[in-house]
Amino acid sequence: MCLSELSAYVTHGANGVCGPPALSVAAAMTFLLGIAGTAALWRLRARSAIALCVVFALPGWYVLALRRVDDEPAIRMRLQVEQFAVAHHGCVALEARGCETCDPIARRARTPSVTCDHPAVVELHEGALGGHCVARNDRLVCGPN
Amino acid sequence: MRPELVALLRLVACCVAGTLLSRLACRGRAVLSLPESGLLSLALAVLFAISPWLCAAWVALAVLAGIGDAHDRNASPQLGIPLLAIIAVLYVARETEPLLWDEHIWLLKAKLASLGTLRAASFDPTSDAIPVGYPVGIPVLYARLGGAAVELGAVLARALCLGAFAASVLRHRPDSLWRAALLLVATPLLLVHARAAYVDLPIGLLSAALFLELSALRPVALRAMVLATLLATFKDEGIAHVLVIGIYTEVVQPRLARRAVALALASAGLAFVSWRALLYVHDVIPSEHALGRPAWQQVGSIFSELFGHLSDLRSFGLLFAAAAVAVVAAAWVRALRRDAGTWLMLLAALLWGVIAGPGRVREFAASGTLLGRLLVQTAPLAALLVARAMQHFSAPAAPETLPLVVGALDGDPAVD
Repeated sequence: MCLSELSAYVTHGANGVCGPPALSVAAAMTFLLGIAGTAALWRLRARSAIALCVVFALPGWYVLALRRVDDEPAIRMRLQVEQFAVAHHGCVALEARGCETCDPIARRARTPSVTCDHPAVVELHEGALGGHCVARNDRLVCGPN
Repeated sequence: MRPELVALLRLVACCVAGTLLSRLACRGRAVLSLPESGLLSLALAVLFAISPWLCAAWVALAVLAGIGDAHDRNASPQLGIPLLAIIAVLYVARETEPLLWDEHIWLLKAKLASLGTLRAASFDPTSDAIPVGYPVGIPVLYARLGGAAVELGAVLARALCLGAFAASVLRHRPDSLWRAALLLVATPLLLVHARAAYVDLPIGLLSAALFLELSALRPVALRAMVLATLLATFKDEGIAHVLVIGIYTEVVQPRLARRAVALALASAGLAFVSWRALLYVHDVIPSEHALGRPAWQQVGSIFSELFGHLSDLRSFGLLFAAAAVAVVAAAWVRALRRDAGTWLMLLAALLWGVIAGPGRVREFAASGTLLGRLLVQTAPLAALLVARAMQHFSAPAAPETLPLVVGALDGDPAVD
C-alpha cells in the first residue's frame, strides 16, 4: 500500500493518491490507451466514454478506500507541543534537528506564538513524528535523541 | 455553543448579508445564488482585511457593476438545500485531524487571522505566516466562517466554492451538470482535496465558474467580480487564472459581454496590485513566486514530470486523457474551441510560472510536490470541456445548423 508511512503521507498526500508518480512506460502506455479508448468510444457512443472514465478511476478509489495512515503519533505530538506552548504562554521557539516533516505540525500547534527574550524550546529530532516528547525544564524534546 | 453551530450561524450571516448587498447594488434583483452571496460577503471581508480603502474602492466598482446588472431578468438558482447537502457531505467526509503539509500552513494562518494578527504577520519574515508576503484570502475565509474552529471554516469555504461552481453550471450549462459531477468524482485526487484544507480545488472551482460566467452571452459583472477577486487573493497563481480567462474571453467575446470582463479584470487587478503595493511599502520581496528569466534547459524535465502526473491514473483517472481527446476534437468541432483553448492556455500559463519562476519552484516540481496540485486547479475546467464534448457527441445526428440554435438558447456564443 502506498503512502503508509506517516512522514510520506504528510509530505506527499496531496500531490498524488500514491504520492508523486514516477513516469513509467506502463503508465504512459495506459494513458495513451485511455486516449485511444476515449476517442474510439466517443465515435461510437458517448455514454460508454464516461463509463470508461469511471472504470479508470477504480484503482484510485480502491487506494483511497484502503489507505489508512496511523495518525495517532502525529496527533499526540501536536497535543504535546500545544500543551507545552500554552504552559509557556506562547513563548516557544522551534528547533529543527532533523525532522523537517514535524515543522508545520509544530508551528500550527504552538500558534499563537509571541516574541519574547527567553523562549522555551521545542526540539524536533528525527523520528519526532513517532509522538514521543519529553519535557525537561524549559525544553520539550521530541523524538529519540 | 457547539463550534459547528457557531460556524453555521456565521455562514448564514454571510449569505444573508451578501444577498442584501447584492440586491442593494442590483436594484432589488437576485443575481447571486446563496453560495455566491456568501462569497460576496467573504470577498469584502478579505478586502477589508487587506485595506479598508481597497474595500471601499471595490464597493464603488461593485455599485457600478450592479447598475448594469439590473438588466438581468433571469432568476438565479438559490441552491439553499443543495448547499446544506454539500456541507453535510463535506463535513462527514472531512479529515478529523488535518495532517497534510500545507493544511498546517493554511490553518495556522487562519488561526492568526481569527486573532486579527495575520496581516502584520504576513509582512514579518520571522513570523509563522510562511512564505512571507503570501496572499491572505483563504485564511481570512476560514477564520470568518469558522471563528476559532478554523478547520470547520475550511469545510464551509470548500462548500461555498463547490456551491458557486454548481450554480454556474446550472445557470449556463445545465445539461453538463451530471457529466461534469461524475467526471470530478472519477478523479480520485480531487476527493483527497475535497477532504483537506488545501486551496487548489477551491481555486479550480472558482476558476471554472468564472469561465462559465464570462463565456455567457450576457454575463453578470457582479458575479464575475466576486469570483475573480477571490481568485486573486487566494494564491499567487490565482491572478494567472483571472488573466487567462479574462483576456481570452475579452478577445473572443462579443462586445456585449466586455463590460463584465473589464470589471472582473479591474476588481481582481485592484486586489492584486494593492497587496503587492503593501508588500513594497513593508519592504517585503515575494521572491518565492517572482517571475524571472525562463529556465529553458529544464523545460524537458518539467514536461516529463508533467506527463508523469497527467498519466497518473490512480490520481486523475482518465480525466486528462479525455481532455486531450476533446482538445483534438476541438479542431473540427467549433463548440469545443473556447473550452479547449481556455484550458490549454491556463495550463500553459501555470507551466510558465514554473519555467520562469524561481529555482525553488522548479525544485518543488522536480520533487513531485507541485505539478499535481496545479493540475488539480485546472481539473474542473477540464471536466467542463470533457462534459461538453460528451454532450456534443451524444447528441443525435442533426442538421449542421442545430448547434447554432442550441448555443444561442444556452446563452453561449461559442457555438455561433
